[in-house]
Amino acid sequence: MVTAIELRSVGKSFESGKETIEVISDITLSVDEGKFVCVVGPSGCGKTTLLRMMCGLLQPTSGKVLVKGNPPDPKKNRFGVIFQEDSLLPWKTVLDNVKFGLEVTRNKGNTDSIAREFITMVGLRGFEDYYPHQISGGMKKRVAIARAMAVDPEIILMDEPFADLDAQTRQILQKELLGVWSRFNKTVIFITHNVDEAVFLGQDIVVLTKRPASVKATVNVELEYPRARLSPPFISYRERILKYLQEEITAL
Amino acid sequence: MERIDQVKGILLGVLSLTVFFFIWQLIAWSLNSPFLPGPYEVLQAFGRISTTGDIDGYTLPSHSLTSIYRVALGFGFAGLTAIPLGVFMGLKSSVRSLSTPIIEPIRFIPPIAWIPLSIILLSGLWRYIFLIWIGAFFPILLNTIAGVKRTSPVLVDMAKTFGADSSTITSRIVFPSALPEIMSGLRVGLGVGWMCIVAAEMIGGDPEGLGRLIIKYANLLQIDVVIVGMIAIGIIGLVLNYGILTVEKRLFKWRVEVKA
Repeated sequence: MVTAIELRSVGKSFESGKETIEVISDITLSVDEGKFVCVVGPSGCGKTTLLRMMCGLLQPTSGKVLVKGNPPDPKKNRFGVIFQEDSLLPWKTVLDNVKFGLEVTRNKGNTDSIAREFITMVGLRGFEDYYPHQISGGMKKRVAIARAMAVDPEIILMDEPFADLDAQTRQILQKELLGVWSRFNKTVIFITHNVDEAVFLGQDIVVLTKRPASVKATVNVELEYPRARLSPPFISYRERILKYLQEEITAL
Repeated sequence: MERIDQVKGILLGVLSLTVFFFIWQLIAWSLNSPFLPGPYEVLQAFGRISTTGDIDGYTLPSHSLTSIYRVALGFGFAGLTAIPLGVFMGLKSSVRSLSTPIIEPIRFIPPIAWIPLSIILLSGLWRYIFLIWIGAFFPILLNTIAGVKRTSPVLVDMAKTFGADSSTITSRIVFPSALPEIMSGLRVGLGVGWMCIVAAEMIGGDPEGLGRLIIKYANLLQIDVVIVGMIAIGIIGLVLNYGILTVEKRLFKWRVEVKA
């Protein structure tokens, strides 16, 4: 197995006035190529900071982040990052939003037909000329997924992407995401505070401690896809992870 | 329903204009003063100035075009200077800190106060360009800064994760996202600039321009022509404003329309 991304005793603190706030104390983990890994942790534990370090938006204070052996650099690596907030350009149509990533990554070839292909993949054929304000929250996420996938990313990083959606739409998008993942065999790192979501999606689940975060446990979910939410093993995985999280929350 | 509302709006507009002219006529009659002509006399003066011209032979359209030309130049310069500076100031807080102590006090000097200096220091068309520039510059600058600062950080992050460099982020994220604010700055700037030109022409020596027309006839105590000039200024200002509004609506289809 080839390692897609590796974190070696990564720590991160922020200066806030005179104070130094340690957000991440020591995280070591390694994700093999093609894996779907979920990261869960109590809210405010630095999950987003972790993700931002993985794509080079932030530099670690200590330790090392390595993507295929080198520090992450969006100018060299190709990342597909999907944010919790709406990150579509409101002045561009669905098609132009999907093309945006391709154009910025200086992708040679026909950006138009690649973009259309991925719009079709996420089921938005016919919505190419719509503006973001004309489509629903779930559709916006699909556009963001199409935009990320279109650049043929080495790693897909998702930061609580479905947190703002209603429960139904969220479950639909989770299934669609698994479909996209198994089809393209991409490495996915998916951050969430939703345990149910993590057990439904992840092959491995990394549980973080409260702030300053370190790895509390790594759980390997040995369940076939598609996973049945009501099956006893699914529930027992959920209970196990919830227990880890509760220990962290009550430790506050 | 929308059609009916539209027709109703137009009818109400016509009604209010009719009432306005009626009251004006009534006051003119009752005062019976040579210094307050009624609407009909103003209309006659309008016809006279439009076709045969004023005492120097300049017609109303040529006065108007001269004023519009001056405003267009000054406004153009204002846009070309204020937008890049505003983007720069919006992006870099150090530039903002450096320029604020100079810009802030200057901003509160009314354009009219610059007239003497501009008459002494500049000549010809440049006087007018300078005064329009002073008037139009600040609304454009301040709106541009505000628009740039309001750029959503997640959009910037998104572009960064795709490997965008800072010039790409400025041109493809920050500028388009600030554009609605920039356009409203341009609209306000054009309005202020238009008001400045008239004031400038009243004082500047050139025989052409709507401001000059008003002064010439004020000196002759021919108030009907003065009012013609005033109405022309008002209507042209309205049309300019409406023009930019139309461009704004076209350009910003993507914005969710806020309904009152």
